[in-house]
Amino acid sequence: MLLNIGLAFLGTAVGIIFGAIPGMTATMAVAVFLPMTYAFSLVPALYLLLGLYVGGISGGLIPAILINVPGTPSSVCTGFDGYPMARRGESERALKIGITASFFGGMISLIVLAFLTPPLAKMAIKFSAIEKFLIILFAMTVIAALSKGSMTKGVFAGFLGVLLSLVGELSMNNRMRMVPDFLKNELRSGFQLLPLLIGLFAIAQMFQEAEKGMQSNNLEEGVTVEGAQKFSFADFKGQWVNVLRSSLLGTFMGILPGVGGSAASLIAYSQTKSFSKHPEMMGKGAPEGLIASESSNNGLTGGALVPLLSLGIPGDATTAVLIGAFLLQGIQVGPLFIGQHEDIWNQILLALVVCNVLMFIIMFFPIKLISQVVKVRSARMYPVILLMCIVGAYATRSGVMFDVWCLLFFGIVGFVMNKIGLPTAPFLIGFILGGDLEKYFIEAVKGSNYDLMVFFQRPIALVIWALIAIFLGYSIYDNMKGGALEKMGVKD
Amino acid sequence: MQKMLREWLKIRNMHLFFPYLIGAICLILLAIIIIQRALKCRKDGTPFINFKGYHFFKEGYDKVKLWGSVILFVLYVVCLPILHFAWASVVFIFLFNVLFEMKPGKLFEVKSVLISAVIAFAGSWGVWYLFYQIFNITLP
Repeated sequence: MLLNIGLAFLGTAVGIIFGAIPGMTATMAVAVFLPMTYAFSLVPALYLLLGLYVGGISGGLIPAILINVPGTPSSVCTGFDGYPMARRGESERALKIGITASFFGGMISLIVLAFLTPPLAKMAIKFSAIEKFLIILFAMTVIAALSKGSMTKGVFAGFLGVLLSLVGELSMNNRMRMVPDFLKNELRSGFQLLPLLIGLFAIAQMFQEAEKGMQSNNLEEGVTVEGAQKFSFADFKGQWVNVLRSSLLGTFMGILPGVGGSAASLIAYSQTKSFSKHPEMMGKGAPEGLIASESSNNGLTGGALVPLLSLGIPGDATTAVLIGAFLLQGIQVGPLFIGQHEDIWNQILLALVVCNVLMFIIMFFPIKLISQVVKVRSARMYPVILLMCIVGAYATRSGVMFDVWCLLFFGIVGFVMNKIGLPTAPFLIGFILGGDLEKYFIEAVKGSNYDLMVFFQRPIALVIWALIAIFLGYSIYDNMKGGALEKMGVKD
Repeated sequence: MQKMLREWLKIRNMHLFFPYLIGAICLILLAIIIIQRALKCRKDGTPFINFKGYHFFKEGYDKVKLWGSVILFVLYVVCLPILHFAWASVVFIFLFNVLFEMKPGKLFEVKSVLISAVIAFAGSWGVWYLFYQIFNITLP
């Protein structure tokens, strides 16, 4: 247990640093530290990774409040009110309100995770290959529906990911596909998840920062945390409905696959504004805006784990990376997970409690010290991150240099995708789900004597089709409107 | 349809069915993206392909740092099996540090180079020790 808490502490502290440095994200933190989990069994590894996840999401509030630059996309609304508060000499109060709201958001989403996941998984156990295929199709529709208002690009990226996942040998007939002769040995089992996700989320980001000249956070002057008006828990008086609503909105957005933290933060912020008694104060340093943004983005953490642990479908890019940790330990996440690994499930819940408490302790009390993290130069961080990435890629299959080349290749792919506006999160989720999509389709079709009508005969299947139709309808409507989320400024 | 599926999903063809299906879906989606763009261009009165004023990279991007990091990455991977992990990393992490800390018109600052050397040495050997010695993980 001591090792677990130690790793959770390490993960949370490092996650806060990643979150606080603009340009580095929670996803990147989890991806870079995944190789460290080779040395541990699953439970300690999860303490480390969940610490990185919670810390990474929370750390973004520090630069958002102090320098008006969100450390992570999920803190996009934090600066709207946090920065004006800091400008009028209330930075310490703003930071502490944000940290406390983050803590509540994380804990509320954890409660939802604990109560929603087991019944969902129990229901999913009854699914045959037909429903499993349709659930994956549904996940891909949701990704599309919420892809920055650009449905077609989101679906295209998702299916490209699926196509890439098919490279290599099909275990059902041991025949290779889409592999050039000279790479037959290297690509027999296809592209590996770890080099792909580290490349997409860490190396691509490094190239992007290099393009900008590594200037993102070169603060010349010091960062000061002022405490003219002290924080008090009375700041939350009259805000509990806001905390609950924003946390639940964040959790719900997390449950929907492929939705980023920035969407959760923006939607919670706009809802708080519409319910506010003083909407004119929002954006001018109103604590309620800060509370909405921070409780919703931490609400995302528990929410994104719901589809992962009940259906095997990642809720966001970071939980897609967490799948890597389960795969490394040879454990399949999905409907059977909770039933077969009840101890691990309980440990995940405990780990989230520990990480949220640690996040609060690490950030709340030494806030003046922690705030100096925004001065860390990314130019000094990236070379060391690269080192970790190389280790992660090389160790995937215990020493295959081809995987290191894949790391570079997917770094360039991620960089180009960002340039041409193709979202990388649906691409990664498509890659992860592609193999299962094929397997369940073949199983379902063969089991029904090759009759495609089998997908429309069972009642659960019809419900899933109805959900697919609703989300497709929504995405077409949203696309025609030009992307409501995009108009609101959603960036991931 | 049933007959066609039966033929496609015969054990000898099975591996090709999904790649063709997903490939076809990707092509259709690509066509839709192109049509959507064409319609938008027609509505806005802008040309479909317009290279004038188009920048793939950010305007005034840092060519040295971007291309330098790509080239250093390639050389690093090439050198890994030759120099082995720790020594290759010392050399290349130092070069990455120097590259990323480079300021326009001022190639090197002694203090910055020294910090780069310390990070490269401590980082590389530190990571080597942690992963290779303590965690027993295979390194190049």
